Amino acid sequence: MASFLLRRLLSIIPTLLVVATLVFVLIRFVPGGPFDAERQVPAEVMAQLEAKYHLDDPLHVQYFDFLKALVTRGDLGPSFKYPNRTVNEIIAISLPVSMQLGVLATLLALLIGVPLGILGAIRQNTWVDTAAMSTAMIGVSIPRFVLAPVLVFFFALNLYILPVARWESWRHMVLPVICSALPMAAYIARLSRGGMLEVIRSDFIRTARAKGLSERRIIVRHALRGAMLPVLSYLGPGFSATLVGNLVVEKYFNIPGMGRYFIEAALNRDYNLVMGVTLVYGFLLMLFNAVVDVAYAFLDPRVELR
Amino acid sequence: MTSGRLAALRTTMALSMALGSACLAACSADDGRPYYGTTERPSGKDLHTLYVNNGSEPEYLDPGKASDTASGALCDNLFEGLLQYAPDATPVPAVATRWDISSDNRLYRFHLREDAKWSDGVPVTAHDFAYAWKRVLLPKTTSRAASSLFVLTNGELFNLGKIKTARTDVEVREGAAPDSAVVRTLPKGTVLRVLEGDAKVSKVGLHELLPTFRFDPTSEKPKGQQAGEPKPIGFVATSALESDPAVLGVRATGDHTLEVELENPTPYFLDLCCHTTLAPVRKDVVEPFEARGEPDLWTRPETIVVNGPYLLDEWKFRYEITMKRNPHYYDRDRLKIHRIVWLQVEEYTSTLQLYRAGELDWLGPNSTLPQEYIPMLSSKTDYETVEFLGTYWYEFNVEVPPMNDVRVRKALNLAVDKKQLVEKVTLAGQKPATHFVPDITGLGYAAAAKADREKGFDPFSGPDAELNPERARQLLGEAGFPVVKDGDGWRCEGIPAIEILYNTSEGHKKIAVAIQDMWKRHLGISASLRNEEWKVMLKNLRDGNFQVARMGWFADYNHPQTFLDNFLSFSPNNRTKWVDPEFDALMRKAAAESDPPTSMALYRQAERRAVDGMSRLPLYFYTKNTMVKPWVKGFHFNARNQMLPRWMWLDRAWSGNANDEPAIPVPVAPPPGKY
Repeated sequence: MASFLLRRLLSIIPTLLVVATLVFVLIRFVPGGPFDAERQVPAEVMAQLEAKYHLDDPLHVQYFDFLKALVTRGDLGPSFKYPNRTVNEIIAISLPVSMQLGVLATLLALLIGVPLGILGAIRQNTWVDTAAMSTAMIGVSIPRFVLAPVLVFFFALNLYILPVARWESWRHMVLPVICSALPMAAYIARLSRGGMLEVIRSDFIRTARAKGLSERRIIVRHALRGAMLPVLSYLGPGFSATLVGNLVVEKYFNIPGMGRYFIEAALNRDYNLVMGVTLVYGFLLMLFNAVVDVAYAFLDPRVELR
Repeated sequence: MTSGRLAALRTTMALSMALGSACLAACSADDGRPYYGTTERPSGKDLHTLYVNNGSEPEYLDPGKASDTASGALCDNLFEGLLQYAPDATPVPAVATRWDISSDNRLYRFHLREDAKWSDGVPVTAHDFAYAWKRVLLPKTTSRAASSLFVLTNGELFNLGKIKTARTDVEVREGAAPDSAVVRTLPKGTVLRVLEGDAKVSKVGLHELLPTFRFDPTSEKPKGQQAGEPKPIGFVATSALESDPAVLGVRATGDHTLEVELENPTPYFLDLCCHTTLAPVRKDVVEPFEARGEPDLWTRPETIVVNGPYLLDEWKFRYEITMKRNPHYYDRDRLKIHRIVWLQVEEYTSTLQLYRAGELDWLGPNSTLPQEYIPMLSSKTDYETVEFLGTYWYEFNVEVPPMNDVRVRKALNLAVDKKQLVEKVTLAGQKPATHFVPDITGLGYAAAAKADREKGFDPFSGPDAELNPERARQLLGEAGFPVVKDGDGWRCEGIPAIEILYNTSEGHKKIAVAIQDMWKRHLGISASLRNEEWKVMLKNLRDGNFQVARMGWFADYNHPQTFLDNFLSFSPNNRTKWVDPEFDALMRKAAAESDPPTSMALYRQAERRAVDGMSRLPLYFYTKNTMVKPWVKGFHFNARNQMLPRWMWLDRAWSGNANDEPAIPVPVAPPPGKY
């Protein structure tokens, strides 16, 4: 198993290189450059700016310079938009914030979603199931940019129990965490209901029932592990996406996280920052996918790690 | 200017805003108060701390490089120039207490106060200003704000790398090849004009215009203005040339005297002196960072040294910037705002909610409320609006048919009902525009416009300037595109397809749809709409891939030059390809004219040429709006959007206090002395 994990982790490196190359080429193909502005600077000044950031070098030279800095020093270069920050610095400032929000939101989503899904499955086709799944359906369908103002409207502007925005104390975290978690929780509820339904119809559960085990024991000891497999597959990409931040939640609640850079850096043609956030996300995604594969082996004896 | 950032998000946020405003409207309806949100300052906030939203993260806190509005607003508080904006945005003394001006507005001598100090206690001197200005113009600084100093003698050409000085004695060769014959040898320090060149070799001429105070070792002729480009004298090695800022028209003649020479009479120079670009910086602070290749890192809170009323205390990237009083500021004890917390909230909904809850005292200098909110907010007592020095226009690509015919451009202009546009679409009290320079522009423009109107002669009104569909149809007919009756409407025959390009934004879209409808209704022209992400659109404008594109301009200073500059044939901002030598000549003449009323008349004449050429279709003059809590005193919303916290103070018992005087009495300059 250790060798499986090691192999998976090593395979991340060439994949990231491919990602980096694609990003490098694609972002430079997008029309417009980092220094295009409404107030057009004279061509001479533009040339000086491009020279300052070595954007006037031939593309392959830029590419190898970039690779060299990345591989030897882990240096992603300066941000074009924020000249007094490096991309490494921007990620170091913003990623922990997004991670904090992401971990809390994922935990909350699991806490709500899993019990709701299981409840729906074991009370299939009763009002409990209908209620749980309708809630989940609504949760999946309501986008966060609608959820956020609604939450703020009730909890901050009418009940005055929570702040409207910003990122200061635990009270500021409540609404963004809920806002990030709810759609996720709804999705998890649907997945765990499906997973549970599939498992409780299988032969080994029937055998357990025939043995006269209590329903509670059957669910908790035997069915739950299997039922969690779809949730687990979702958590690989889901968790990594949550960790790098959610644009809408971060913007609405004015949270200094990393999520906003995914769109913003591309719009600003901040080439290095686009590269930085993409690589971080790519790395986390592949890392958690590997972790999920390992976890599969723990939950499902049929899975063999090769 | 409205930036195109996060255009994609804008669309998704539209729904959220609609919901947000629905909620907000409902809330304000049932409390029925004339103010928006709380009217009591939250008890936890002390009376010497101002909470302001600054919108986005500043690009630079280096005054010489700041070119975006977020950076400018912060630098205005950290650094103080020779002059500063009073609450009504007129330039008043700051580091300079008095000045002498030559009769032609071309030579300035500033006398600096002796008690001005940097935040580390070192006195502020004229040398700091001279250093800062030269640094801004040095090509290697790559300042995108350098154009504010183009008025200095040689400022523009020097910044563009077209004026260089011989580093050593230099041989001038006949041809570009390194072995071609030597024509002459020039001594070290000769000032040359680079006519063409690359990294290896430059074709040069002798540059003659130099500040009168500079000793020129090669001067054969009397110094003076030189018309056009000098004659080429040959080729020199580019490595033998350097950018020596000694050619610039600024020098310190003592610790407290700064002398400035401008290329042209510049009546708005005192206004420019308030710009953060012209603020001083400290050589011994900046240079060590430049030397180690990190020229932008000196502005971190640990190392920054400032001379303004406030000092950078904390800089939380993309979140918040905190300033506290500069302990060495000469007026420190009179400042009533001791701390400023600049939030960076980009989302309008969140900003308004923070304001409503009393977390923000003022929406800040970079807030423009979206159209959706204006009907709801404009009835509130704490809503403020002011006419603003900015113009919204559409640019025509005059090289592409049918826009290459001025009659078509004029017809399109005459078919737009601008009054309806501002009353029904933009909603924020904008003024319909038939020309480019806002009527409120100062330094004699507003007065000249008024005088013209009183004489019954207003070049920018009447049947050839305002909505006139009939005349528009006639013009199209003359251009070969007859407009014929077609059922209830009109049909324009043979006109090539017209496309309106705008950067993705709800506001721009609404305007484009309205204009599309007006052209259809009055001219029978079916224009199509195309929206593009901001930088893509800028690239397309630069490359000439457009027919009609939305744009606009905000004044850099209170003078028509800042607007009309954009129409010069060689302006980097002239994307229309409109070239009018007569206009260029008028502008040159107006700039060189030292008698202010004559100069202003020339500017008005130039503007008429520009309107006549109709390379841009003026739509409206901007207004600016904001929300400010009633407990903020000494706040005066002005047409330059220059509201400096140094004039403000906070009063919890605001309703019983009619006093709205600035916290510090506004300094008054003695009449300028003779240079």
